[in-house]
Amino acid sequence: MAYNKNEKMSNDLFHFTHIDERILDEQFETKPIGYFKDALIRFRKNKASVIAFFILVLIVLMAIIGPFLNQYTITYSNASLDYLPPKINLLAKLGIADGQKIYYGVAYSTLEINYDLDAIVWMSEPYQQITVEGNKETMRTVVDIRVDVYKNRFGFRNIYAFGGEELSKLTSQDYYVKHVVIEEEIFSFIHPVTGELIVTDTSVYRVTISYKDYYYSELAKRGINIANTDDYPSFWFGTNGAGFDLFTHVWTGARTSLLIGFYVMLVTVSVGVVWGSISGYYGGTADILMERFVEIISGVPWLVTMTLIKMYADAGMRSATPSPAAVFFQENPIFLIAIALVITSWIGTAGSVRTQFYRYKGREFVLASRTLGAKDRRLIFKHILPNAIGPIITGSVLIIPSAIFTESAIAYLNLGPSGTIISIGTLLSEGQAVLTTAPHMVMFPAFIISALMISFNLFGNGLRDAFNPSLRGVE
Amino acid sequence: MLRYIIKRVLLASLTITIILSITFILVKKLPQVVPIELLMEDGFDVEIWKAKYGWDQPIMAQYALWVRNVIVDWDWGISMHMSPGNEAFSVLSRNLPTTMRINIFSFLVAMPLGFLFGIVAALKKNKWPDYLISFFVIIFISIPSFVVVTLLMYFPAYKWGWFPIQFPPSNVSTAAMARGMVLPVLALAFGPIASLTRYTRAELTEVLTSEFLLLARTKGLNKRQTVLRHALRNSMVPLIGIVIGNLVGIIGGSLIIEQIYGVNGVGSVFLLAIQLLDYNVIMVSLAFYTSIGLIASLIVDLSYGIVDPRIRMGARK
Repeated sequence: MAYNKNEKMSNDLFHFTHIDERILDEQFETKPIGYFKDALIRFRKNKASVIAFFILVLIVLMAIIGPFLNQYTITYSNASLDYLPPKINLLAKLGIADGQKIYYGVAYSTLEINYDLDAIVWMSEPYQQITVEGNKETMRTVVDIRVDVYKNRFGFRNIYAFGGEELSKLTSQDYYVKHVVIEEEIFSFIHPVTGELIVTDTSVYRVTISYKDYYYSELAKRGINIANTDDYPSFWFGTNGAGFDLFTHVWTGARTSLLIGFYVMLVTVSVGVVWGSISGYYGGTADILMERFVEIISGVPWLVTMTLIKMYADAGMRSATPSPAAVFFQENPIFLIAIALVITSWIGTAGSVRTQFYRYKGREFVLASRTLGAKDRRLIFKHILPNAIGPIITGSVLIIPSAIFTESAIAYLNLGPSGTIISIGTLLSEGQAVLTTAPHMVMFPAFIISALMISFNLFGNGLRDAFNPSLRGVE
Repeated sequence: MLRYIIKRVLLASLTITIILSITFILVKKLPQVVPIELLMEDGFDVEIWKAKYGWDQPIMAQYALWVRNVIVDWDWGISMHMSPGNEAFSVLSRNLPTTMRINIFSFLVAMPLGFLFGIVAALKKNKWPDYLISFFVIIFISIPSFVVVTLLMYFPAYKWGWFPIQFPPSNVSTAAMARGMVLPVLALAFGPIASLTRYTRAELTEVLTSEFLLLARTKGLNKRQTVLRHALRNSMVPLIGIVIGNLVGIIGGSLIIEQIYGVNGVGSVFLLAIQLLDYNVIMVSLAFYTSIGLIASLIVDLSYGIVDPRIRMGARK
């Protein structure tokens, strides 16, 4: 149909639509997704990080309430209960944490006279142990002996310790040794030194040692039933060399370590943000000077600061009239460690904040705000700094494990201030000294610090990926 | 580039000077323990030292003498408690070979393994070898080396008797020494293996997805050829820095492992000096560790620019 230019269109062909309605922007049916919510969604997708987060929460929770979960306080100690292995009554029936300890390769002949091995039950298979000294070889029959240390200590030493009455009548004659030969066998082995074939016949023994009735009755008079080990108090993580409950101490130590990490993080973030903002926002000469200063400070190893701090703290303690500062730090030695760590830790945060300022300070929205008359302070805190919040959060989370690690290293090297500080590091180094005889003293703190480190790193990586998806995969 | 190198070297020297000066003055301000009687009993002429180091002069004068002695004679003062009368520097340097030996071996173990695992993980990305390797990487990056060495000392050394539980003294046979070095070498290697694996994997995966590799494949190279000739070479560039950084770290060694395993290296000298308050040995040790750290970071930064000319360190806009 041809279009007629001259055709007139009457006005009634036109009519208003929507004249009765007010047209407004429709409300979004979906909820708005902000920066943090967006990060949270991405974080949730990372299963490992979520699990790590819950492990962290658990450890922090235990660091808070752990020391109160059993009847022993942080100051409770009983020197007669030193180096007890872990015992958890619930698990004891499964053979884990049953308060028993295996003495490997105890010479058979010494068994009867060893007081430490009193309340003994228990299976042992004698075997030949060859020791070579120079050209001389000695061979002796030894057994591995499993000892219920709890029964031993509570049945025997504790009465002495608590009752004050010495059970001097108890000598080695008061208990008897019963060996039952189960089977005899002949076995052969190649001698490790001479290389010759040695054939020997040996027997598998079941060794049972028990106390005489006399001893039981003596105990019964004092109201202790030795037959049922469950009646004794149990130390879930065992005890240490001074008879402190390790469960209480390990969680207190975790608390100290986390607190140090937290203090370091607090100072790091506040100093780093202020420093980075000033350096990045103002730029120019201020920036150059501040950068040179940072470069010099970042060359200071924590070893140097910690050594100086330790020497000054020790000298302060030795002096006849200690200054108030020396007294304060003697009472709160963790602040000394925190100070040593803080000296260089803020540099990373300052650097990332500075970068963000350089990236955003020339953007249009900042210019717009400046044109409208916003002051420097408003520009820094309201407009630019919020853009740096992702790197700041990620960085501050990752500072905590590195602070905990350094604190433990300091404790291990005995570089910490000499004072009574219970941290994961001091527990580890304490346990290290008796690694072969009381391995539980190392294993529990070692496990907790490893769990802390792994979950902090996983959590931190997850956060970094969540806040800055473009960095994913770049380690 | 030359300008940049000079600038960095000058800055590093300035940093070392400032740190050491402050440290020296702070150490001197501590109550000094100079066992003059003991030294005289041992037949040393204390008066000469007094004049040379200025023991009876104010701190700033001592500082000037110290700077002069170090720069002109390379004399870091004498040890007073650890090995009285000997030069502090020689006390430290005679234990250096032990530390270096352990660290060189751990470097030789860690580098090939780190590359190998990293390459495997990158080539098998998102398959089970990658998951397995990544799992161990996160574990060994996180677990502190002192926990690793403790576990190694308890299980393989004590329980199973494979290795000695203490580092052997230097007069034992080569075989015994080799056995004794296994644990510290392993403990020192785990961390570098894990971090090198992580970096290699990240770099190689990035290169593997790049377009020049696709081009190489379309030109008819098989996968093996593209990986070996194109991907690996290009992914090595950023890794050189890490390798060189580790190499410098060899001299420093690990204080903690030495302390725990009883290795008589540089670290044990330093820790003993702190216990005995042998200030000159402490000073020379701190100088040693500070310079190692600074030199390592300096070389790493410079190596990037030398290996890959596209990277212009410190270039203006």
